[in-house]
Amino acid sequence: MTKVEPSKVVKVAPDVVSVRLRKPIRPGELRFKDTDQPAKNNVARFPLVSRVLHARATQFLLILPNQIIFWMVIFLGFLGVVDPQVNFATAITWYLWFCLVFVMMAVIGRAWCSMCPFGGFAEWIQRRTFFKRTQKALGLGLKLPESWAQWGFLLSVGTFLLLTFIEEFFNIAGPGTPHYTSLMVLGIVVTAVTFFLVFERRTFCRYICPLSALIGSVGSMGTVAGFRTNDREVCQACTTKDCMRGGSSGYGCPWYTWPGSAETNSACGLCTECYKGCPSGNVGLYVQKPLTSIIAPHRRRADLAWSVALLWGLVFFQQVNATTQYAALDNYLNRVTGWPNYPNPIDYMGLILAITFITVGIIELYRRAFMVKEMGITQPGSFIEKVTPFRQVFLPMSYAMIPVVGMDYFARQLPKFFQHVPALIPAIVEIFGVNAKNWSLVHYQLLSVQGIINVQDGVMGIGMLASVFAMAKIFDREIAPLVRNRAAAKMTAIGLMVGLAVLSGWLYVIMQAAN
Amino acid sequence: MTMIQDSPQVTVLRDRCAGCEECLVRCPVGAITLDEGSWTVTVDNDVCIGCHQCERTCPFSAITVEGMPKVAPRTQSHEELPAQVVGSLSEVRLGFVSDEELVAEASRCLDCPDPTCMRGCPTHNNIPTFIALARELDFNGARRVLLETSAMPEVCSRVCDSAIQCEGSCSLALAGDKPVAVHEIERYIADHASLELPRPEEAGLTVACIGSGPASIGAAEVFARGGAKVTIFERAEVSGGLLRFGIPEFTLPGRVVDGVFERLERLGVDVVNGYEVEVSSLSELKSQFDLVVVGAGATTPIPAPAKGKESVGFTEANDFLEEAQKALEAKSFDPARGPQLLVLGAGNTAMDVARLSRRLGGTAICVDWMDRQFSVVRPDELADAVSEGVEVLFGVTVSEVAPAEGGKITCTLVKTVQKDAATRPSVTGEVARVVTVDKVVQALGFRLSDGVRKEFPALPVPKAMPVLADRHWTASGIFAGVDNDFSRKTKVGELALKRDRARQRAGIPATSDGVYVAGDSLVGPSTVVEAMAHGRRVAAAALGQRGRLAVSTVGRGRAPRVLVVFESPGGTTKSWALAVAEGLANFTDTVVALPVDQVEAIMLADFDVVVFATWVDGMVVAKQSPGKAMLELIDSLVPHTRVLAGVMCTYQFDPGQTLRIMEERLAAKDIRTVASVAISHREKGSGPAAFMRDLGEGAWPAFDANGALKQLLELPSASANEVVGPRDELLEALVKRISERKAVEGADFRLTEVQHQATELQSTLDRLRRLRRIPS
Repeated sequence: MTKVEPSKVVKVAPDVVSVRLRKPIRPGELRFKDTDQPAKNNVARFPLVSRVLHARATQFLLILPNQIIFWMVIFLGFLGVVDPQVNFATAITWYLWFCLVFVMMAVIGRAWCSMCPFGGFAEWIQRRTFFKRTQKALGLGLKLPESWAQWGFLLSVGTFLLLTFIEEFFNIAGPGTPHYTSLMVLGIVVTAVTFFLVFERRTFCRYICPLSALIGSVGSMGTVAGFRTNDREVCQACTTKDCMRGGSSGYGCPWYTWPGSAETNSACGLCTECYKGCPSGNVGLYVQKPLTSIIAPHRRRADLAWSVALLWGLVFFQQVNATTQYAALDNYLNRVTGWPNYPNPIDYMGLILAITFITVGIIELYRRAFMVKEMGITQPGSFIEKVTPFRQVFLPMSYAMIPVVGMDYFARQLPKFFQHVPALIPAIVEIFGVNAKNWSLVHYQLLSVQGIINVQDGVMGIGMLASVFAMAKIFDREIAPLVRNRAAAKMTAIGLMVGLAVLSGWLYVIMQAAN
Repeated sequence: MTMIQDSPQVTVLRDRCAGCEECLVRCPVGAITLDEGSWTVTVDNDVCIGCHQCERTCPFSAITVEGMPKVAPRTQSHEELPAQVVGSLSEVRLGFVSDEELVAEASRCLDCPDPTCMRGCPTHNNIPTFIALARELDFNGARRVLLETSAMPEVCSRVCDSAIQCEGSCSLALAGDKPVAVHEIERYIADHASLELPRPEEAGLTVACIGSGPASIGAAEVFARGGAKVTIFERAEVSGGLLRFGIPEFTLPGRVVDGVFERLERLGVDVVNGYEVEVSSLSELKSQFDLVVVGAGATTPIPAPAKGKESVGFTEANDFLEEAQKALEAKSFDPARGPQLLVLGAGNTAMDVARLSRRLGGTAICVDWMDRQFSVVRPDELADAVSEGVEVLFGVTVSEVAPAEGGKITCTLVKTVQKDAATRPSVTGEVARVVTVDKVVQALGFRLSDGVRKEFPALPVPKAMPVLADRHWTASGIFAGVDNDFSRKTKVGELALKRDRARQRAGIPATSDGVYVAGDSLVGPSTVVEAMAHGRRVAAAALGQRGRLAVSTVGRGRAPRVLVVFESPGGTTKSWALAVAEGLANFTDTVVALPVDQVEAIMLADFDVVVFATWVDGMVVAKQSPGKAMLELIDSLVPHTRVLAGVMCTYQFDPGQTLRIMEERLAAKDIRTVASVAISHREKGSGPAAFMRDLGEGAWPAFDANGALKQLLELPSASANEVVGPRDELLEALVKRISERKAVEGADFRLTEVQHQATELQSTLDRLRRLRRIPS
């Protein structure tokens, strides 16, 4: 009498034509075991949350405030006061926003992407609506050519390196001249709109956006797993896949992610479209333990791994560039090449690549030292899919590096926050024509230099602990079966994480010394 | 399948592949597997047949295929143009003439798991299955498959424009190759099978079909097989309508049409020829029959605009076709004095007129004002006509006609210009030619007669694409086909879906007292197979009706099919709607629950009871109303759907007039509300029992307590313990058991009756307990 029978209610509109589709391959018991979250982690089970997620205006309302702020940034950078310290454009962009973005990625994941005004603005144009479900898109709707798309997040790393170079060259985030900040933001908006009008969905956000790889990798630390299937069987049996193709009430996933197979949060833009569009109500918004998307995924992505390595190279460069030794090198190269000022592109890219490949080289040495040769697998294929013994070790280890790299970026933003964020208040007041240049808040610092260094090292300590924890877990799951002297191998791997974190922490100390 | 050529090259974009397996489940040859590690698909190029179905169906465009399908070339069918055109009525297209040809062509079929050809076929023939059986030379088996969807495959296979229907939608055609010759295979089956249909048991239903064309044939066959007594009324002396006089003998021999009617008569269908029923006087017929199907076609010719036509008089195409065929059959014509015709139009009818003129010893010039590249002319018909000596001019129209000597007509033909297919041609005024002919025949198509339009002002139903195409159709990839010369670069998927929506619409009656309209009378000029599909749809919808509103005695005793439609932005209404759906699923075998944005008015033809569940929109204390989308749906409903409604809403503080508004709007659409309930968000219950009880009272068939008990006790796995005890527990056990038994024919119950008659059941149980030892 207590037997629970499966529902006999049909929840998908019947098809008039009978089809005899092949049976899909069901995942093995272990395939999604570590990444699937229990039902209690589904916050969409609360009616209020469900209602918010169902509402088409939700993402619009998230984007709108940021949209207003960043158009103010664009205009006030040109028209506002020239002093960057109290110009709204520079103050909000570099003292607050960039810092908050890192907090959001470390804690949540792609939270920023769900409210991003750049992609949001371009998407409004592409969809020809602020939030309604329209069926005719504006633009060409092309797919990103395979020759580009195969590099995945690496394209985004490329644009991030380019943008950082431009930012360093013009001292935009210094902050230098306010209208440079406006031009940079405007440039991002124009590029985004162009890509949205040429390509389909959020091709720009997924592949091109300078922050995409950074958020996709560092965001893996986050506690929001993203939108996932409630019951994989239902997703696999679904013959319409409205979450991917778009349906009557939701667009197809703009990020090319299927809730039925998502195992990380790195490509879930939290846009709620799959939740809205699922005809079976089989999508939930799940939270997870921190670091789950780093430790648990079955599939390690080569593009993400190399992105982490390159991002590590970049952030390390940004620390090294404060040293006198670097200044000497840069000046020398500028003299020789006739490049006007810092940073010289040769040392910029040279150092980033050197740091990247030295780190990767250390991992390769580690592999040679510990990996059992017979365990190595070689499978040819494209950049994303090929398997080599090097990748067998490099991919998981690079994932473990994410917390150190992420916290390093975060720590790098802290001085601006602690030293300048109070200036945001006079900067806001300045918008209304009040002269606030002499307010004490303009130069008020929340922390002393030593205090900031302490916080930075504290942040790096958190990153180190997270990386060590992730490394230990990943080692047990993926590297241990490949290596000899497991205890030594594990300690060495963990030691590498500690070493990277300590190196960064030490650099924060000497950076200030250099300043 | 027969394979040739090199392997196609398939590339999977691993970055974008999400492992959803949409390609895998649809691959005809099983070339796709899933790599569980990366959860992306891999394709075996050596196994791949190159049909591109994976490319068309991938939701993320993560798969590309290079190369054409590697299947054998299409088997050429036979055609025999008469050596001496004059006087010949012999069939021109002969199809396949040997089993070997049939098997060779059938072997090209990929047997797709999601066959787009079936969607392209207006009546959704199960093409892969009948082809597979034909390949085994099991013609009767294949014919039996065709029987499920087609009343006259021997006709459809001869007259359908398959290039833009099933064959244009064939996976091979969508991939740019020549499709499987579906129609030649279908024709071979139809001509070689010998299938006798059993005469069905009577279902207590009488049906009158007006007209004996394809729409009535389709309806009559399904009604008759469902046990209805069908009478077809044909105004002409010979049955067949358009099939008989609209299509010449050399395309569709009369004996083939005779075969269709012989089969209908064996099913018990009465055909009354020479009996005209005016559409304006249906009430008389309605008093004698339970249902009336209007399949009278579109009979009013579209007039050709030409200066001076009043002075000469144009001949109607149908009149000419009928007269010419009769003359040819009776050999009562003089080949030396054959008619010299100018035929206005270049469609099927125009070609038929011209070719018949040639057979009478005359000449014919067809003029089409459309440019050649945009003309709707069938290439095969054009080629046949030209080879028989018909002259066809494109980009030309007649501007002026005038009487000439000897009763002839002088026609001035002027040139036209057309920019693209969507633009109407414009007349340039430049004279192309001046011709003198005996007759000018109008063959520009037809429209609904004034009688039908007056009686049914909402007709014709437009064949429109929905804002969002059916998701199953999209998933099949039928909209993503490449341009193919074979299908004349037609968007076959869109064409098919438009047709299908009109077909579904045919299932909704045109009046509240059981008059249906089908075929050309419903949608304006269409095709033979479409009209037949409409007729079948009418019959299937009418016979499918269940519950108290069922038209036949068979359906009356069965539990109704329920659609629960909900608008629920926050999920509360949805959860209540699903609770109701789950509850009702205990008492019927068809419950579909869908959000409002996935429900269309035409879907209501397949349901008997619809529950409309909405949240309460508006302010907390005023202006409460049903959700906007729900009101839009209700307003879009077609009258006379014959469904019964239940309305429910969920509210935070006050439902206001929400239920009343819904009831009134439904009443305006001729839909009666039998149950309504407003549920507070604070309510904690297992479900709105009273609402379900009222719904059962109004919509479910009568309940027999003793019958229920008998079935209950006859359950092979029933434990008597479950039905003995205090009354509440007895009720619970009964409901549970009954719900488990709902798959059994006739086991339709409803909660309300169970409750009402629990006393009776208890006393019966007591009696039984005395007779049988039932442990308590």
